[in-house]
Amino acid sequence: MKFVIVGNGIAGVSAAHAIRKTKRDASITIVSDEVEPTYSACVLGHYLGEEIPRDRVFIKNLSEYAQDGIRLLSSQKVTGIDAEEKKLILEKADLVYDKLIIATGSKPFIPPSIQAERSGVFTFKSLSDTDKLVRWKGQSAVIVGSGPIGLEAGMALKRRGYRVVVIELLSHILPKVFDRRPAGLIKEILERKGVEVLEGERLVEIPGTDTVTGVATDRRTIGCDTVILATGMKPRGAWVFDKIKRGPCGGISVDEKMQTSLADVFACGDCVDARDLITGRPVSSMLWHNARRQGEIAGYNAAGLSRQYEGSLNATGLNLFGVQAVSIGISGGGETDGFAVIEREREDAYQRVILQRSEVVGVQSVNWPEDMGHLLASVVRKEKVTSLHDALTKRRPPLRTMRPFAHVRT
Amino acid sequence: MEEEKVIVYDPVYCSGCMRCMTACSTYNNGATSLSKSRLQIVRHEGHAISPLTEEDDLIFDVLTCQQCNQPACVYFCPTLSIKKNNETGCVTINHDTCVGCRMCMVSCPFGAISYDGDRRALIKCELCGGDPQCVRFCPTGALKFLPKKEAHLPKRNHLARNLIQSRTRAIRDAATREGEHAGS
Ligand SMILES: Cc1cc2nc3c(=O)[nH]c(=O)nc-3n(C[C@H](O)[C@H](O)[C@H](O)COP(=O)(O)OP(=O)(O)OC[C@H]3O[C@@H](n4cnc5c(N)ncnc54)[C@H](O)[C@@H]3O)c2cc1C
Repeated sequence: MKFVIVGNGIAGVSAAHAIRKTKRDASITIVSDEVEPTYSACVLGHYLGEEIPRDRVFIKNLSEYAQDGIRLLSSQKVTGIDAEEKKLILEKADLVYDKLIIATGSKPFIPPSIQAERSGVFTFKSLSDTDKLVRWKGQSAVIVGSGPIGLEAGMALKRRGYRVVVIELLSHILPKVFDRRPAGLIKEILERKGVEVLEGERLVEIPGTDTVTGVATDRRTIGCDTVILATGMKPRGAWVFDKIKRGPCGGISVDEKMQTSLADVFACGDCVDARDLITGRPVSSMLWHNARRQGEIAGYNAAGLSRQYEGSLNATGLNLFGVQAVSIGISGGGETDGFAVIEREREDAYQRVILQRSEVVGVQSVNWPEDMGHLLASVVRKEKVTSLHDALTKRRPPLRTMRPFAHVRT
Repeated sequence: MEEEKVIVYDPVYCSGCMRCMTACSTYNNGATSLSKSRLQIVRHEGHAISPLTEEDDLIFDVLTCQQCNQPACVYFCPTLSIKKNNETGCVTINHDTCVGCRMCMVSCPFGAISYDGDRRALIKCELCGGDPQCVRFCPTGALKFLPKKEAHLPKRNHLARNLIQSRTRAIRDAATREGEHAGS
């Protein structure tokens, strides 16, 4: 049986391993339009900030593909699909499959009003983006967008000696991941380390013709020689999007087995809208651990072993020059109706537990990583608590082992 | 194939002496440091240190790696540095590839992974390569290293014991009440 996987990120590789575990002698091919073997996007910031050498970003080297019996077609782009004939169209040749796994990930979203074709304007998604930034000799950078990726880029450039300004359109940084209070604490930490943060400010244009000289916002012009557009990611896969059912966030729609609307076609990772663990609604998660688990589930099901996806869970960690900030589950609590929020503070640490109908649905912390694990478990189990005391003392570990996703139905 | 064994903690026998913790850090760090022990004996708040009675036999608890079947830390690790050994069941961290992002620590429901600031490394129980020193030095038998198949037995024995105790108590209470009735 021929298994073909499009995309060589963590989702695609996890799928390949799950297939190999299930079927020892299946033919497995991964198609990737990148040159390099699989790397971890999560540590690109460490590489950019000179905390690790470039070779540490890779999680699989070429000889390991051969050992695992996986054929890697690198630098080859899939441009179309003939689902009836079970055939992929590549730039050079066609590729037939019995089971197909789409793991095409995501790509940077750039607001259509922004003219970005200038030298000095970058995105921060891939290894090649990072290589370009490492080669670039800039001194002052404006980061547009204050999500985790924007902040990671900003902190890395700060480490490289840049002057760094982060601009955020909404009224506080990390708007999708943290609530106002913890976001304020994070902002203070960044500012203490010399990263400037401007909130409630909109990018209007990047003036100039060939080279960046600055950015214009609705409030001012900021001079700089480097701009990073970190304005979000969107699911990738234009070659298949008009032939496949898609979800509300624009990703490929999948069921609990990661099966798509096309027969024998599965999808996983950043390119899908999968069920959210807490709300039960389809979400575009764009997180490593979810992509990895989805890849496994897609691989097992493609190989004929029935497995169900537990659901995507937000769990984002940010290392702010050594201070850990964590957000788990739903954010926005306390700023909308129907939520209760319990806050705890220590001199230089903060913790916030978000409850909805007495269930723990979210946790955020700054410099307080110790309690996160069992609160994460509380979110997964939808534990009912009536007070923070309950939430924090229900920590008796069972004598036996436990699964991380407690309600696994496999 | 080696039989998969797990560390089992039985709070009923734990006196809280912390010898397990000193043994752990001595073996793994070459120095005694309770904070760097890979298992942590914690005392439940609200209890005085007093001789164990039937009612409060669970004063102490242990936080350590459960060598989970499907470990959260493995999924959260962005560099695939955490692996579960299929034979021994042991979950280990590869320090050559770990970048120290601490997502394993954040995701562990048991608080079993900690950050060693001196070594700039994440540390967890890796069963001392198959001969856990905490078990070896536990003077009361509260820590045991059992084949996985038998790991549930202490728990089951306690449940049975508690059931018997509560029944005995119920019978005794009923008898007392009857006695009071008879006396009035
Ligand atoms: C800078 C950065 C930092 C991050 N940090 C974190 C973090 O700390 N924690 C966390 O949880 N997540 C983090 N993420 C997100 C995480 O990296 C992603 O969720 C994860 O990598 C998604 O994996 P994937 O396999 O789905 O997609 P991708 O990694 O995007 O891989 C998709 C692959 O498919 C290839 N491809 C796409 N289309 C085609 C085609 N038509 N033909 C051939 N090949 C194709 C792409 O080139 C790519 O190689 C970060 C992301 C970035 C960019």
